[in-house]
Amino acid sequence: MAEEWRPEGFGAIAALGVFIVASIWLGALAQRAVSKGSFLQGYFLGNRGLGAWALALTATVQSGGTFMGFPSLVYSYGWVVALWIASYMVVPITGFGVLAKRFSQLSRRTGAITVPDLFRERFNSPAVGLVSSLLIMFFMCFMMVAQFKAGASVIKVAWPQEATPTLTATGGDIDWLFYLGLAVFTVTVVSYTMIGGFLAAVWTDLFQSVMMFIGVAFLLGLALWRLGGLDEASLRAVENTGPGFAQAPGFSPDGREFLTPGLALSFFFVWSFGGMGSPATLVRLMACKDTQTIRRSVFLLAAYNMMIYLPLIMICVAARAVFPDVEKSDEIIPRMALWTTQDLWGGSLLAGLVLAAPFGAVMATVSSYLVVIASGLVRDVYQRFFHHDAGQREIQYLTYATMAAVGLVAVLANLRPVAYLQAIVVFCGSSGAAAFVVPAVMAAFWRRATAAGALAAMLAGSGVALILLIVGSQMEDPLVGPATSFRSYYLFGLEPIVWGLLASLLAGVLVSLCTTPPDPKLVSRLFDVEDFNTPEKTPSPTLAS
Amino acid sequence: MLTPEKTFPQEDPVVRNARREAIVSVLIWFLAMAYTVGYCWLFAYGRDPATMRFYAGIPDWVLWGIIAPWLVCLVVSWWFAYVFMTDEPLGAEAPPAGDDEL
Repeated sequence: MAEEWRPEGFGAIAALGVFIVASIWLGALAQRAVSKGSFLQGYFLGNRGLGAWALALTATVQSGGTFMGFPSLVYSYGWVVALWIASYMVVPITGFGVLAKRFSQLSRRTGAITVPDLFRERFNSPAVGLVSSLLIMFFMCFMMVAQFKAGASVIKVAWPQEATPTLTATGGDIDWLFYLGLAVFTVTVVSYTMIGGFLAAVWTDLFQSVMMFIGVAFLLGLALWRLGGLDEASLRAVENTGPGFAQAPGFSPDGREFLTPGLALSFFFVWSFGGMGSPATLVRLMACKDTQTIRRSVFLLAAYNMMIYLPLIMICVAARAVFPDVEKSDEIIPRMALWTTQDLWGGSLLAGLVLAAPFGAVMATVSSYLVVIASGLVRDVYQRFFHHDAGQREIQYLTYATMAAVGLVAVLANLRPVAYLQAIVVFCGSSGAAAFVVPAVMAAFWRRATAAGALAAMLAGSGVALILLIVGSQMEDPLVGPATSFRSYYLFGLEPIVWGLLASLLAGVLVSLCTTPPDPKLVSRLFDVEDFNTPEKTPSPTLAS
Repeated sequence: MLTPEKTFPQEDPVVRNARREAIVSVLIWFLAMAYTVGYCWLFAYGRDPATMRFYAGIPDWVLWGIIAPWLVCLVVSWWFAYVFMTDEPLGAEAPPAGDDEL
């Protein structure tokens, strides 16, 4: 099929335009809400007012990978990708059930605004705060840069056929449409995030999550209607590929084993712990309103995940029936959106609505990462280590400048677009989890955990994940896992997250036990009933007797 | 005389309940993983294509190994959220961390 196939008419791009304007408007609304409180708490934490819908639909690991990388995998390898993503069935329970309540409470007791703040206060250690901040920025920058490519690609695919020659004729081999998309995407997402901070990221994320749901529902209905049902789609997909498309370890023309049993097991760690340990998730837990919000979020997210991922798998199986051999499989969802709506009345507008789903997912991810990265640089590094008495206005301007600079860096990094979006998403998710899950659990539940132990856990987890990536990238392709040169070494057939978590756990526990126990007063302040710790109050008679 | 925190570390009920909920969460995660990976390992790998059955276009191992447990997990999520988890006050808000030094 033609790789440069584009929609006719301006409907798709117009729908995306409306979506963009709506996002900026939400950013402006958020700005008003933020300006009611102090800048730091309002801008970086939304004044701890997240409700159930906002928490459930935004504190997740959905990203450009959900609508670009993941569909590409289903298209390439078939039904086995359902097993690859299956742990999303328990992501809401692990994501909110393990840490949410305690992180919410700890952030209130310590007055923490950012995740490094919380680690720093919990362990009473600036070093733990600084290292966590640097690790967060490292992994998030990596992942965020990859998302920009996805955002630019959506605009490129939605660009109307009529306008395409004018742009490409002057550019030779340069993909002007991609760069135009990159510019529009960057200006949009940086603007609305800059205007409204954390709350803008959350509100637009919520709005975009709803759009994703509508987009996926539309696309599934249209795809199955066009193909005469999933039965027919599945059959034709297998005919276009081979029986491996409906089996594990997945379809491959060159003998690649996409998902060995060891990797299938590993991905239960990747998504469950990746979601739990992601700094973007942790900061939302700190911002939630109350425990009722947490409870309701568990079920809302469980239902949402099921209604997003299972239909996406079916859509991409159908895509293999329609397009037997697409070279740029990252664009399969936008292409399905255009194909399913091509001769419908108002079809191009409908395609735009469907395209808003991947665009929204990418914008949501980037905006939340921008806030975390800016808060890391400004609050956790600049304010703490360089200018302790920086005023509110100075912090505010520095935050805006940081966001603009991060956007610019991402654009520069995408002048040669990154490949392997999903591989980068998996690497960052699993390395971040290897770095933060164990320290977070130690912080929340283990009184004996020490600062040195937390530091060791962070460094051991992330170190092991990075070493395995470096080793894997240097070795010959083992023909296991996705086809990418951005691959880790699968020690004993398992993803690095398993080894990273194990190393992190061992290091955290052993170093904690070998170092001086933490100050009992600090621990008591964070683990015991508040009245019990208030110096002016005497313990209750029952306790004193 | 012993100090109260040494003798009577009265753990906050939020901590106790959160720990209990965390343990159950991890248990659910483990059971889901054991079933799903175990079932798919048995019925999706090395399968003779001739024995493969499709239900409404969905391979049998996907239906019973992934979609069915996913539905069960949805029900379990409801139970976890509305029956098992408890509501409790998260406590008062302390001043922003580190402001004493800023």
